[in-house]
Amino acid sequence: MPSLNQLTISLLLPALVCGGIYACVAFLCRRDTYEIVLKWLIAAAFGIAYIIGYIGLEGKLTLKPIESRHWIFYLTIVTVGTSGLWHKYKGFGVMLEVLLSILVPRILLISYYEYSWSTFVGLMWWIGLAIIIFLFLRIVQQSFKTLPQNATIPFVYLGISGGTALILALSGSMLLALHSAILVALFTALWILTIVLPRILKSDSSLDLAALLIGAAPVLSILLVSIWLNGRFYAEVPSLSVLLLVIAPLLAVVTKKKSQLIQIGLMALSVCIAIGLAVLRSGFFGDLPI
Amino acid sequence: MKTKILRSMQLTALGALFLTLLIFTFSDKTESQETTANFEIDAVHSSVLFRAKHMGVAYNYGRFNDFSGNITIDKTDASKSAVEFQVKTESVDTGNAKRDQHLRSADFFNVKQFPVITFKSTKVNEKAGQEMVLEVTGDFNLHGVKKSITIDVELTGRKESPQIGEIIGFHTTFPIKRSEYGFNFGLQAVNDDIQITVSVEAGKK
Repeated sequence: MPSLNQLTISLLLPALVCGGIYACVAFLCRRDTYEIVLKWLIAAAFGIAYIIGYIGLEGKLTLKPIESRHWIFYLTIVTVGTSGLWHKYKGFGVMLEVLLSILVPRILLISYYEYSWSTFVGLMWWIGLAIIIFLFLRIVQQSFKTLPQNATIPFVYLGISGGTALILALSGSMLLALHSAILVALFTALWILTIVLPRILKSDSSLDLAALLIGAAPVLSILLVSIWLNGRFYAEVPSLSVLLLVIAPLLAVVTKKKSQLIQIGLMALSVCIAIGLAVLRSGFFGDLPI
Repeated sequence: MKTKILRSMQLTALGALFLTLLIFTFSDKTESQETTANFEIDAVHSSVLFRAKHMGVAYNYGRFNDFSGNITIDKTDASKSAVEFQVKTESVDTGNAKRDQHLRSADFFNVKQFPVITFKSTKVNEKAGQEMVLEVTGDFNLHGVKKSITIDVELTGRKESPQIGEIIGFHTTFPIKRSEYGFNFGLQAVNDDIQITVSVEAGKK
């Protein structure tokens, strides 16, 4: 298990950094700063904070990726770097989504292509995963628009990240679980600030602070996809659990005309079933002797 | 008539010379083949073990059950000897199924990404001042990290019989730091220093 110092660097520090930048965005929001810049700052807050957590967990920055999860660092940089353009130019955003959907399964599952899959099987997985990833990237952005524009957004993704962390811990990989726990720490900070900051600042800006959170959508979706792929293919996460986690944001989109309670309730149900399946698969909270 | 006899004698001499050269070439080749012998590791009579200290208190031992390898021995020149060894990471066995599952995961061996550990010698020398010990340098590829390491390998025995053929035994123990091979998870619980022991019996091919 990681030490207390390691947990502080990998969970508490990222939450403080993300929260700090988000508070700055809230301050800038009052001055009617350019919306794209604010959205990019949110993406940067999320990405930088995750990278701090990543370094804290991995112990060092491995510039030459050796393990599949080492690619997450580069994917985070790419999405943070391009997220401003992602929101400004829709065509560019879609193009980038297509590119990442094709690239992510190929680089994260490189060892499967090398050791396990035949050319045909590998191609089938590649096409299937690329389609699912592309749809997921679109769904996450839509969910940020359809969910109530308040603390509900970070709360919902706090639940999905928390569920992911729990499932990974049950599926034999504490390290991947802790990667997901970084997201939990970030969403906890954002959730608290989304409740507290509007009351403190009493913003009269036309820009809604919670609505700016969509800036983090590209980074968040790539992080979730990368962690889930690692969990499914390199740990023992059940496929159905991953599928239920993937469709959780979709439920927010398809129930947009229903009440907030139904929206959140259905998503929570999806995550809970995913956890339940992982519990059953794990042999009911069997302790890891290490 | 005299010329005919002389010509016949010349041909006979040439034939004898050719035959002698052929015999020499053939006998030389046979001798060279005998100085080098190829052995295949017999996994049934071999072990690949490792030990790690838990919480800095007690040593826990584990083993790999699936491995293979080849050894080439040059009887006259040790530097011409070579070894190749492969271990399947999936076969890790510490006597506890839950722990083995955790060791196979992305936290440790990440067996789906790194299915084999390999060692391939690049240099073999007789260890100065120590009989029956070889100094083997080679590329050790563990967890996607390749490092050149030098280990002392002891020749533990050699036997030849009509029933089993020629068999040979080697033993080595060497330390590694797991963090140097990207195993950074849980350094508080499982020490960085891991001791690997390989004891093999190999049969002549």
